Amino acid sequence: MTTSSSLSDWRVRHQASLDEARYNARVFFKDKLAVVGLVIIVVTIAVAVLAPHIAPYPAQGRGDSNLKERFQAPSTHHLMGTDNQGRDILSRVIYGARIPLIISFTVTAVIVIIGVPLGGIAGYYGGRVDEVVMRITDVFLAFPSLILAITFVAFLGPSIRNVMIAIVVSWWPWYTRLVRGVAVSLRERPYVEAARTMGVRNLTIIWRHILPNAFGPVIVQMTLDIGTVILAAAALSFIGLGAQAPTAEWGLMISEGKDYILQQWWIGTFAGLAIFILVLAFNFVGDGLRDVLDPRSKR
Amino acid sequence: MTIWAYVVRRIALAVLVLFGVATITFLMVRIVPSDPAAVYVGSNARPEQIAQARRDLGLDKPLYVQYGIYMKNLVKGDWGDSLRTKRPVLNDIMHFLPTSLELIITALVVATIVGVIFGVTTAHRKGTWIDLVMRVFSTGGVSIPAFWLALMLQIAFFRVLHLLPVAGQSDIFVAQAHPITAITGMPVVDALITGNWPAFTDSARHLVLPMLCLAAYPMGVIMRMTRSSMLEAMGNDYIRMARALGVPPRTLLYKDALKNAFGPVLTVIGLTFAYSLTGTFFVELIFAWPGLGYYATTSILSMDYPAIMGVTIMVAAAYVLVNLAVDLAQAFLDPRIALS
Amino acid sequence: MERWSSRPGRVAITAVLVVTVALLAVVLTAGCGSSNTSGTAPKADILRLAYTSTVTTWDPSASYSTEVVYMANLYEPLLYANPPGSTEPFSPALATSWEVAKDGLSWTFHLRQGVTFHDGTPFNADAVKYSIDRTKKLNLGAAYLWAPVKEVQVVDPYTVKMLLTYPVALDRIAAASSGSWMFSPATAVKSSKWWDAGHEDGTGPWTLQSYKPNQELVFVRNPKWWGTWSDNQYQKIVVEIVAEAGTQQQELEASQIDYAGLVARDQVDALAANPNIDVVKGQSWNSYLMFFNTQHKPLDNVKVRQALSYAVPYQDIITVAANGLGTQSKGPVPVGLWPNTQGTVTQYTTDLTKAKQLLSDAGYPNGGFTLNLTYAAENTLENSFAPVIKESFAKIGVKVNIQKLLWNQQWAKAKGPIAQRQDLFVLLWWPSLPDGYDNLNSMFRPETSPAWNLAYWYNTDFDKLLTEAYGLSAVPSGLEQSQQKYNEAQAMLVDQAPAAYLFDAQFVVAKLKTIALGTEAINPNYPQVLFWTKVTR
Repeated sequence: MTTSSSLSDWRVRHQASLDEARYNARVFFKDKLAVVGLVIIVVTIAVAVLAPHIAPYPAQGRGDSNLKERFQAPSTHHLMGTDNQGRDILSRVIYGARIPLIISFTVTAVIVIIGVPLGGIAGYYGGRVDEVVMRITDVFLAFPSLILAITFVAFLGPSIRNVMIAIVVSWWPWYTRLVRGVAVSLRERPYVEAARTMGVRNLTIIWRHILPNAFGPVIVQMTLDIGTVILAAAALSFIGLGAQAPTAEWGLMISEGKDYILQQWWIGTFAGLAIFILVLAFNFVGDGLRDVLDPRSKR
Repeated sequence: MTIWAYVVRRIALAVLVLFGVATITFLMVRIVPSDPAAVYVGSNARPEQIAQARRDLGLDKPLYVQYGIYMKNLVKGDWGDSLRTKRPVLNDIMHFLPTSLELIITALVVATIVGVIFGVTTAHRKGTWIDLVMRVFSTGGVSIPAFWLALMLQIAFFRVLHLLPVAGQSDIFVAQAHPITAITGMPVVDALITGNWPAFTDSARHLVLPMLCLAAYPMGVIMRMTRSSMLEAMGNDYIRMARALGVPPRTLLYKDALKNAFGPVLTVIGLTFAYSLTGTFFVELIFAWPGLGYYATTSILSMDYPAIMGVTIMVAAAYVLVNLAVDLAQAFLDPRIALS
Repeated sequence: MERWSSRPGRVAITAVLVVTVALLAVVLTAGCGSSNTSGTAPKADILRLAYTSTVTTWDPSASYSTEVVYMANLYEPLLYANPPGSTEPFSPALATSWEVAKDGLSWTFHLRQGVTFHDGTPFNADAVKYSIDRTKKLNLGAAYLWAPVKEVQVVDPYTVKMLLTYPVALDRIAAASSGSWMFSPATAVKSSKWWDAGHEDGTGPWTLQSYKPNQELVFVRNPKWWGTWSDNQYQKIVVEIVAEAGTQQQELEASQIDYAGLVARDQVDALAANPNIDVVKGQSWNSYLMFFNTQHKPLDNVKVRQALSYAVPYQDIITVAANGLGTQSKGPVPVGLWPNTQGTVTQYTTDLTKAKQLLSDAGYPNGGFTLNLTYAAENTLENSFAPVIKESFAKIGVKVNIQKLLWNQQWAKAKGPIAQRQDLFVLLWWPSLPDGYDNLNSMFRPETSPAWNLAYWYNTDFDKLLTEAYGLSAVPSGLEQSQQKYNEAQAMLVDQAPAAYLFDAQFVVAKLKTIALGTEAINPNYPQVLFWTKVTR
């Protein structure tokens, strides 16, 4: 009984937030596209996790060749056909969902960890700190991110890890800039000033009062960026600098299929479709979340 | 702060940013584990030839001396020689840049026209099925992998419909029979101003597919931006007031709201211009388009570090300059922004 | 007026739509009519080629890379090596006849008269001496081929004598596919920058008219060429650089080019089914090998190397990488190239039972070790067969980590600190001259610092055999004995297995039926080269 009473206690104390959450959820679910996007993402994650159980040819999904069945057109046997090593495209599309999800979630998480505190500090302290941090971000923003990423990977050697490092290096300033904007607008608010006069440490103020307010815009930006990161990683794999054969990765699959695109169109087409749909889904959800969490934001 | 103080400050910052980009580029290619001298002399070179090349390229000097020389030459316009084409990097860039610009500019013009028209339409019809379809369309534009779209366009327009050439910049026969006099370096433009009609239609036909491919992303961005700016503008007090006063809705929509949306849309066009400069990489690769992106990718893959540095600085400079221009244009159009 | 001004948006939209539709109509329909273009050069005189080859240098002394496909049409050597199966091994080019002294230490070449370079300078003995001396002095690219030449003597204006430090088959070197070009002494004052801006000065049938790096090269006939032109040869060659096989194929099928130099092996059947297209296949000296790092454990054990040689899925590799257009290698010298063993040395077959047996003999009963394999990212064939090797090795308990590296990186790693070098190095090799000695010498001789011996395998017996065999091959009378020594040496390479010899690849190109390739248009002794004079309408 104590649990239930403490639960209802909690409910009473957090009534306002709960109402807000419920309202937000309603707004979000009213957006049909956002719901479609959410469903696609959930399904993709499920497919990626359960790949060994749902892929028709799990071994081929992991990379084993099957030279007796090369270049088979889509049929009931192989719903999406087979590639130049005779592997079932459907199985490889299913296994291929893993890498983009892992890359995009990891990369955005790391970017947030680097970019957000820097933005908070720059915006809160202002003055010279702000000036220095923002000039550095200006330089990184001006730096062509794709060239940076390709150069980086070309010199360090192609691998998924290097692709992730390259994207992180070129992407963090966007979050610094975003959070700095929020921090600047909050710096002079009465409750922040009050905390400061009460002698609360600056970092504590940033942590307690500034960053939570940046939560909404950051989440929205993250959702939209996951799609962009998936595209960037796939592009690097497409030119051979990312995932390596025989790994199933969508960008790499398009690259493997590009020589055959006119005769055996299925090799590259389905993987591209998968990227397109997943990125579309993240963008729909991002739009939906923005309407909820960050209604003033434009873009 | 007066508007001129703002202009001076923005230009000073732009210079500072370019200085930073040049420095990082220098550090990046110097700390990576690769021997430019070995690339320079090519295969089958013996150690003493590599050592000689290292001296010739100044790589035996201390890093800070190399940096000083590099910065001095950069300002003087001596961007070094490409290790691969053995020609001055700046010449190479100036040769390849116009063809890329032709692609980017036409793509941005198309993207802007389509994006603004569709954006206004959807803002006007917010919540209807047209809005929904258009939203899918614009989100699709920013979600589609350019290199995959390129392949799909080739299948559709070349293989199935037989309407457009599959790749390249011109047909060999046309180019040989009607050579284009280079003026701007952009074939379509040059053919147009010299009145070379066969070459013009041929170049224009080759331009269509890569241009569409490159236009997809900015089109999506511009359309979304226009829609949300319009919606915001339409919620403004004075527009509401005007509506209450009986100003016709169309006038409101196109004249007043669009004028208000102009600033943010201009900013976004500036940003996507910079994005397109590197976005052309994959498009140029697939369509065998001899532009800066193709030059950059081949340079990177052959570790041609002077070329990589040159392209990086050129693209960064374009980004900084376009953003500077957009900011200054806005400052003059709407001084409130500059002074806030 | 009032009505219009209240609808600027609609007007704008309509205007834009009208203009767009009009432009599209012009652009889309123009293609159908563009065939009737009239101009200065009749279409029938232009040969349109799609190549992947970029130019790394225009300097004929330094050229040793992809640009040889152009160099071979601009420049000429003293002799041409004939394709295998010809009655004579060599044809005269800039030399009309030649002889070797009994001791094999001096060669005399009698030169063709009345030949001029593209700049008008006459070709003579001084030009030969200048060309070879300069190439040797610059010492870049394929200059090492001339190493045995001590001195080039001008005997008279049309006779040169070359003195050697040790006997070699100089005819093969004079006919090499790189480094053998004769160029005008008038260029002596020019810098390397002048060459690389896109200049040439050979005696060949073609001259360079224009050069746009990465994009297009245009060549026209050399009217002063010593050979004879016939009416059905082309006047002008336009080369388009197209990096992707798929794009080349599409352009060929749309008749936008006459010849595609890069064909995806898997597309050969589809292309051959097209009634307008011929697929041309044939022998080449390209072969794929995989070096075992003999300085790393457990590959220092010959039994392990033999086991792995038995575990290589030769046929699967040929299927997946070359669509069957290749044959399992018989040692490191391709079949058809001197001094291939001609079936006298037993080769490995794919036999996993034997492989397992050998592994357990070596003390690795279930494999249980991991090897790093590197290959060049630029090579699409390696890209498709590397995973097949990994899969097959896994069946005998050997794990393979595949590392795809850009060629420069792959090579740099192989030459780097010993501990960081790869275990397995996949390489595409072709000899720089029509002599398999180049394969054996470059890839398996001891080196002070590694360049091509990427097995790091040093064997004095092999070394001695090879030197003897090469010396014997310098004069025709020694060829038989030379072959025997070569066979012994190659048997050693198969037995000791410093490398697995994967497959000899065929060349594959495709062309429209409207053009004809003469018998010598493609010659395996000049890898990737198409001799444009041998292409006719």
